[in-house]
Amino acid sequence: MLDDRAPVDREASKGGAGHGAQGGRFRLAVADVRSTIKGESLRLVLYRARAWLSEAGEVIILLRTLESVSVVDSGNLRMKELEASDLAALHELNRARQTTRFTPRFAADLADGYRGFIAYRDDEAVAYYWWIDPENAAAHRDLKWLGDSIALEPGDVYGSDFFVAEKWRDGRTATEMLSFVESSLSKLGHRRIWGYVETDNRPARWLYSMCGYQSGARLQTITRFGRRRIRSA
Amino acid sequence: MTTPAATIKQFILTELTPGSGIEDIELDDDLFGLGVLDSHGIVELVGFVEGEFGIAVKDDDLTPENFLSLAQIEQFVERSAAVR
Repeated sequence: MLDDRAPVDREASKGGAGHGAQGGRFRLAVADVRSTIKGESLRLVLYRARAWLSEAGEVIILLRTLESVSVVDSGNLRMKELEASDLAALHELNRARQTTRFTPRFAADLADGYRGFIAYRDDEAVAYYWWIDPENAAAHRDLKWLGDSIALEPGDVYGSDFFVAEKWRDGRTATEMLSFVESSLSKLGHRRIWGYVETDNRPARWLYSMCGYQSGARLQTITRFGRRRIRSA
Repeated sequence: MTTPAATIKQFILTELTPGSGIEDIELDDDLFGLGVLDSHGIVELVGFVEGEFGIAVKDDDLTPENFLSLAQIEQFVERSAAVR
């Protein structure tokens, strides 16, 4: 889910164009390119270009059972379900991380049945987390390439794209956010969270292991021209 | 002679806890529960451990069994140094 090697998500390394119908995919890809050229550093542009063309990777499937969810004190963090009215704050968060290309994608995701949570400090968005239930899972870009590796059952959700702003990563923001996500999903009647983490994403793997996520299958992946697929199970 | 745990403790108190109100750490304290080893702190600590003790920490080594407390980190360092 991070590529400055710090984040708790790894969206920058994902093939982000695999969304919706072909036309929608193309429009989003164009929006990606436009925002990339406008708002991102040359280093990031080159990195993403290389990752988009061809990149091998390895992920670990994660599973969290929501039977024993403990709520961590959220301190000064204000967390809520993500709504369309939060998109402007998300855009500002992405602008600060030089990744405005996600803004159109997030708006499309909400329309496609993706759901999310967002965390604010004062009026500044500092973290977000996306999830989807089995009813809408077919639309999720990750679940398309993950295939049978994650088969959502009733009561399950797939969580993805957990991101914490860099300046808040040396505190408990990630733990507090994850705790809020788990307790919120539990209250909504969900019993398990599925997800994945990149094998070399040490911060995220550490966080998930400490928060009770079980590691499952390891999958070798290959990304070519922005499309990720499993190379072998 | 300074033990690995003492060296690591010194690093944590110097680099990771300033401003947190934590002034001391016991050998068996839960470093994640204290907020010392969050997702940022673990990366800093691993970099220090690798440089200080000349060992390689693999991605799969980052487990609570190896890094939850000073005592466990010390044991991990000693095991890793022994097979080096």
